[in-house]
Parts: sequence; structure tokens; C-alpha cells
Amino acid sequence: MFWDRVAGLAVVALGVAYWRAASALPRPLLQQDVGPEVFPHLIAGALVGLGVLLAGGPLLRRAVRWPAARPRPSEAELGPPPDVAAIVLVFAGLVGYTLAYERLGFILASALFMAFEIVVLEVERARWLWAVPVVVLLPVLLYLLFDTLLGVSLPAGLLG
Amino acid sequence: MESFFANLVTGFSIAATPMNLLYAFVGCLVGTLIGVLPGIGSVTTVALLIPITFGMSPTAGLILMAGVYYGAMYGGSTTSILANIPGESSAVVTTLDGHPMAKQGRAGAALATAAIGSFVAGTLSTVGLMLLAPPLAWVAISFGPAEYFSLMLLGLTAVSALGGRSLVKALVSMCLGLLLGTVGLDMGGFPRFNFGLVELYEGIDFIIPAIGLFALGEALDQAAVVRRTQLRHFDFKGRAWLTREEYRRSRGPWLRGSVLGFLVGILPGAGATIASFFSYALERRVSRHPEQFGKGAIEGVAGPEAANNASVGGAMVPLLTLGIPGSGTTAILLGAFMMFGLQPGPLLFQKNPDVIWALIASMYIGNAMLLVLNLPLIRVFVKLIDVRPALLVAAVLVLSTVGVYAANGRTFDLWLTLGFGVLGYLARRADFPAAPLILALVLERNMEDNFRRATTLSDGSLAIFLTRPISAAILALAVLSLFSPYIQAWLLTRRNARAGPVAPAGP
Repeated sequence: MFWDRVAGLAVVALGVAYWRAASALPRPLLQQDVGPEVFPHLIAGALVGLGVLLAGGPLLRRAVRWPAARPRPSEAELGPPPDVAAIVLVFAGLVGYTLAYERLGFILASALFMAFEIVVLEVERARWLWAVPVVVLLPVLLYLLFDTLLGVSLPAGLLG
Repeated sequence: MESFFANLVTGFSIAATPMNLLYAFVGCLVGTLIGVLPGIGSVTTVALLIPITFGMSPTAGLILMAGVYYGAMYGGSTTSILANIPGESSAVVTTLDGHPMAKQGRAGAALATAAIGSFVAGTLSTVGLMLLAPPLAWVAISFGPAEYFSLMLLGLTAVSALGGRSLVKALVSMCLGLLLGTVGLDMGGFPRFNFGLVELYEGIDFIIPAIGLFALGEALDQAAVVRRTQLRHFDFKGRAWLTREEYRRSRGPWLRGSVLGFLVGILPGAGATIASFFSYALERRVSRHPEQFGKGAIEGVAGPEAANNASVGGAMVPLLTLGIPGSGTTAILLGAFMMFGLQPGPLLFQKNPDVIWALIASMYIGNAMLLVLNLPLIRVFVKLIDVRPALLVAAVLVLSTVGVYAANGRTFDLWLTLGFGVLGYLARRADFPAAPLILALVLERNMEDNFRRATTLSDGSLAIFLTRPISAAILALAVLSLFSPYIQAWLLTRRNARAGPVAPAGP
């Protein structure tokens, strides 16, 4: 509930900022009845309204005695608590991967990234060795499939 | 009628060329392979595989994507039955009886009834699509911009109302999608909201949020639990086959599920999940042994599996004739159409009938291929369920970058995808559905164009949406769809008050 309120306020702020950005759009020289800002204004208005509902929803509902629709526990509440360390590490890996993508090239960057993720996420160390062929072969195969066979270009990097 | 058959013959003559047969086959195979992987739903599968089609002709690319869609739907059932891990919400029902069947050593029968049911349903719903789409496209040709705007709004509100837990959150997600859709050049050729970035000049490519929200979101979600989940080993021996008795019990559910799935699939927002839940409820009601449901009743697998596959054909009806996708997956397919420079809608039937009919023909072929492929190869597919989740997460993330980078060849898009991935993960935790966002983003351009055309006709007055009768009727439906969760809740509380506690119906 607390986070819903935070999200609601963020949505209101986004709506207001979006409204102002839309109002500041340069008007086209040709006079139009409906300019480029009208549709964004409608969206911004909807965002503000929805943000208020999200932030103040429980209070409003109590005031008008409106039944809550489909009260079900969410999967997030039922599952185990998130492993924050794992998420942070996976995210850091993704940042490194993106930085290396063009510099090292698809094959090297992908192999390093996969190796890193598997070391981070695989609990059973005995499995690390099993993953080595996949870590080496998958990036090469994907590169051959997409770049060489399908003509979808991927960065060659150091190997290029 | 004559031209109808002529069209179908043309369609088959295009779809049955060796290359197109190969594409249909590859689509089905790869779709099934990725669909079988635990935790990967059909939306992610379709989004991940779009880059394969980048260099292809529109017909070949769409044939391949349709195969992927079918294959992913079917592949998901294998994971539900054997591992009790539904890859997406439409596969949840299959676990209810499919997994108990597997535990009783009847996995072969469950897999077979799912495979044959999918074939029956896929074929029947393609017949439905073929019969219904041309007349609907003919009606829709008279629609003006006001009607189109209202239709798209209906598509969006229906997906929001039916797709998530909280209506407000679903609508926030929808508005966010619209907002992101306004980034880039507007119809007058003016750049908007691009923060002066050249990379955003032409707007945000749909593949970026599609892969970020779904593939990256799912991967991060798995990463969050992977070190804490106990892994079990799955094995499947024997073969996927039905006894005479099992066949007799499956026949009815297949047919009922096909019809129900097709009809529900047509409705925007309803789609596979609701179709499968309805079919399960229906089968339990008509069964002479309702007490067996939940304990391994084959009807409880046959019906819902047929229904969720039939919903694919149903979902193609509004997608092809009106250009309105009814789900996350069809929204991505719409994005794929647009990528090929095709605009689904009534004009597509006139301008590119060959593409449409080749696609329809390929759906027949693809369904038959799936059946031939799946029954014998099931033991190979099953091995994939045992893939270590750590490896799976890493591989999915690598594959995600391919589609994103290949679209424009720049790392900027990878950074943007990373942002969407984080947003997708947080949204998942906080119960904001991602499908309305994708749908809104894909539709925004068209919606705003129609909005501005309609209001230009009316000299800037918004009343045009209400004074044109068809548009007003569609808008009324859109408003009604918004209240449907509340009506549903109200009906449930009334029924509960009368009958005491009942199992929650529907998703």
C-alpha cells in the first residue's frame, strides 16, 4: 500500500511534467485546429487522474464503500522474498555487458557475460564446468546464425 | 465465394513453396523449443525471435512468426504438465489436471491430448478466421477516423480491464505506453519529446520495450529467486499417446474448447487466459465426474489446451481486419507487420491479399507440422525443462540483446532496453501489467493520427466521437469494459452471499 502511494504520486508528477512539456511544443506554422499538443494533453490528464486514484484509492474506496475488484494475493506476495544481491549483480553484469558490447564484440562480450552470470547465479559449483561448452558455443552459434546467415549485423569487435 | 476459394488456393500456393514451408517448420520448432523452457511465456518467445525475420520478405517473416506463436503456446503446455511451471497465465489451468496426471504416470496421455487438442483447435479456429475475417474487413472499410480511434480505445481499455489485477494500475501502464508512443515525429513531421536526442527522433522502436519489459523483466524475476529455489528433476518415459477411452473423453472437450477459445479470442483483452479458464469451468460443469477435476481429469487438460490454441485464430481476426491486437503477443505481431511496412486493417485485405492468405494457409500447415513434430519429439523437448535456470537466464539475456541491437545497430538501444528491463521487473513486483503498455505504444501513432483526422473534420470538436453512431457505440463498450472487473466482483459477492464460499472463478 505504501509503495502504491509512492507510485501514485510519481504518476501525478509525470503527468504534470508531461502536460508542461506538451504545452511548450512549438506550434506548427500552418494553423491547425488540433495541434501536436492536444493528444498528449489528454494522456497527461488521464495520468494525473489515475495517479490520484492510485495514491488515494484506499481512502476514496472507504469513503464511498466501493467494493475492491478481485481481491487476490499477488504472486509477488506469495513467492519467496527477492534475492536483492542476485538482482544487483545481474544488473551490474548487464551494464558491463552493454559497455563491452561494441568494444569487445558480440562473441567475446556475450561469452564473458554468460560466464559471469552463471558464476553469480549457479549455486552448485560442480555445474560451472558443465556450462563451459554452452558459454563458448552459444555466442558463436548466434553470431553465425544472425550475422553470417541471416544478414543481421552484430558487432565483431576485437575478433573482427 | 468463388474468389474466396481462389484466395485460399493462392494462399496455399505461396505458403507451400519449399522456402515458406521451411520457415513455417523453423518457426514451429524454435517456438516450441523456447516455449518449453520454464518461465518463458509466448510473448517473450515471440519478442526474442523477431530478429530472425529482419532480413526476410514480409510473407516469409509473418509465416515464421505465426509458427513461433503456435509453437510457443504448445510448448508451454509441456512445462505445465511435467514440471507444474506455467510459463504464462494461459498455461496455469493446464497445471491443475495436467500435473496430477503426470504424477500418476499418465504424462503421455496428458501431452498427447494437449498436442492433438491444439491441432484440432488450431485448425478449426483458422477455419473460423478465414470465414469471419473477410466480411468483417468489408464492414470495417466504411469506418472513418472517429470509428478507428474509438475501436483502438476499446482495444486498450479491454486489455487493461481484463489483463491485470488492478484496473488503475493497468490503465497507468496503458497511459505510459501512449506517452512513450508520442515520443518522436508527429503526423505533421514535428519531433516531440525526444530531449534533443537524435536516437529518439523517430520514436521508440517497439522491440525495445517488448524485449525490455518481457524478456529482461522475466529474466530479472527469475534471477531474484533462482538461488533460493529447490530444483527437481523431471523425467518422462513412455510415449505421448491416447488409449481409446482417453480419446473418447477428449473429443468433446477439444471441440467445445475450440469453439469457446475462438470466440473468446476475438474479444480484445480476453484472449488465451480467459478462454482456458472458461473452458475448464465448462468442462467441469458438463462432466459426469466433476469430482475428478483437479485430480487428473483428462478433460481438464483437453479443453483448456484446445481453447488457448483456438484463441490464437480468434485473436488474429481483430488484428488482421481492424489492426487492433487483443494481447501482448498480438501487439508484438502488429509491431512485426508494421516493421515490414504493412498496416493491418481492412485495406490490407485489398492491398496485400497474398500476404494475408499465405499467412492463413501457413496456419493450417503449421498446425499439422506441430502435431507431427510434437508427438514423436516430445522426449527431446522434455530434456529442455532440466536446463539449469542460471544458464537459462544468461542465455535469454544474450538473445535479448541480439534483437535490440540488430534493429538499429547502436548501443543506445541496449541502454534503453536495460531501463525498460528494470521498469519491467519493478512493475512485475508491484502488479502493473506490461501488456497494456506494449499495446498502447504500438497503437499510439495510429490512434493519434485518427484522433487528429477526426477532430480536423469536426473543426476541433471532440463531440464527433459521440455524434457518429458507430463510434459512440464502440465508446460505450469501452466504458463498459472498464467497469467489467467491478461488475464481476459484484456478481461474485452476490453469488457468494447466496451460495457460501466458492472457488474463485476466472483469472
